Amino acid sequence: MTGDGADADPIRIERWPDPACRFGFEDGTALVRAVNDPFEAVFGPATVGEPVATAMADLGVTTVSPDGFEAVLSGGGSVRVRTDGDAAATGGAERYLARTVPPEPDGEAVLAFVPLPEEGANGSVTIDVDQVASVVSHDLRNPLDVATARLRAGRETGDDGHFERVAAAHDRMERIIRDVLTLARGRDVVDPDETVALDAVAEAAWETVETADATLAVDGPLPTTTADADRVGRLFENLFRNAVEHGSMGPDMGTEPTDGVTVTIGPLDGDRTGFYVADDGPGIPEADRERVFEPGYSTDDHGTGLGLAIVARIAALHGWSIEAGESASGGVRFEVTGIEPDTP
Amino acid sequence: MGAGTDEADEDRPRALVVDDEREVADAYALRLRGLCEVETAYGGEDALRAVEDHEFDVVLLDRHMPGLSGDEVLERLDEGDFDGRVIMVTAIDPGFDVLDMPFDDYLCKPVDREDVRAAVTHQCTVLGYEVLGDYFGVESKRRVVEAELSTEERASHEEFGELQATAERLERRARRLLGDAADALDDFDAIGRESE
Repeated sequence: MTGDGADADPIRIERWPDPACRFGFEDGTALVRAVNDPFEAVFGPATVGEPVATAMADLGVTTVSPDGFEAVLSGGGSVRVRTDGDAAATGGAERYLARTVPPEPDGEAVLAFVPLPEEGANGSVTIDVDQVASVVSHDLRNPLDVATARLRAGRETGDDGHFERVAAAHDRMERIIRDVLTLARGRDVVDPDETVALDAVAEAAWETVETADATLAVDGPLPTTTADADRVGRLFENLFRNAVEHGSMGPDMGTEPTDGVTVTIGPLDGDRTGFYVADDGPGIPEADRERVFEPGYSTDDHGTGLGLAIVARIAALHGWSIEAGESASGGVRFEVTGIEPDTP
Repeated sequence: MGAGTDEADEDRPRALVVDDEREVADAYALRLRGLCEVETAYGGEDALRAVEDHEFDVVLLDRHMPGLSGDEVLERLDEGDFDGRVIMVTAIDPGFDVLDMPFDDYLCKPVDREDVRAAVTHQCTVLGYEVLGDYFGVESKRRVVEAELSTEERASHEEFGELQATAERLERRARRLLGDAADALDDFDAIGRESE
């Protein structure tokens, strides 16, 4: 498929290997003209002459952005769609990127579906029972402990401050549980269905991390994309926490954080769409750069080693990829690629 | 680091709670309120500094901390001249690695208020009797010397002056650790030491 709009022949959707639907406008409404075999196989049959939006809704194919099909049908651009879940049984994917190939002279256009990767390059992470047990027993114990102590103190003194700490501890437990679920059953808890300005999410995430002397530098605008804002916030939090906790360590890891680390976020250069998060800390040895995303990888024995695994998992569930490399100052540079920018 | 300087706390055992999570350290400090004079340290290095600056009877020590870990702090305390007791308070389930660790007690989080208070009280009692033993050793020397030599002779003797200060310090510490249970001090007074 060339996508060449100047070609006088109608686009041959039969050749398109993935679902495609040719449509034309009548009184401003896009109506189905034809669908190809993959469309019928994955989504089901569509009636010629029916409005495209209605046909897709009847087939259980919904957009994951608030705009709906209308915007993409008339204005071009792309939209993420999701099937109702049975598609996998028929050999299709659950998520697609739907694009409109520019209108033909006779007013016909094609809505073409590109399957989105189920999971990105780091999607193969799995979490085993031991790791879940370790998180449940280690990470949950502290907030539980805090809640118990504060609840008692609150009851004894009637001081509201104690109850606020109880609530904060409960919030933290909830976040930990979501983290474990993100790893163990990602698809059910990660829902990329909002238009998200990544820089705003990143800056909000920075505020929630105990960043001590560290500073955040923003080097240009990050893309706006369709994502799960809460989980992407978590992705940034974990990257920032990783930079702050390891970035300021001496190479022997036995010394206390001294100078504040600088964390820089920015868009990727060239035609790659995505962003990077870099720091000026000691970096990650080249041999370990892939392993850091494995659950349980940890250079000190403090954390559960799940932080970056969660990052990779969240990225993967958005169809993004993440890689660790070296920043200009010898620190770590994480690059998240494959982000499809939302067209305003 | 906030030292509890209530007058009532002056007579109580001194505890140091070490946990890199402030919320957790503060929660344990809260649990010990009324039982001890409590200070908190939010990291291993902080903990070692605190122990150098003040005399602590009991240290409650988290194992996993970034930077200097609780296990390392424990080793340093053991190698140095820290003479208090150490209770590990941790979310790590103990393995065989604890066999070589010089702690005095080990509590797994989450710990009930009653349990942490009982553990601290218990360590204070053990330490209290240890200190009491040291005190009796020093005090018996002081008393026999006091009985035999004149005030002037004693006042000019440097070593005796140090002995006297040590005896006073040990007595104060034993009393604050043992509280009302320090009645062995009265029994000690009742023993006749000079031949008559």
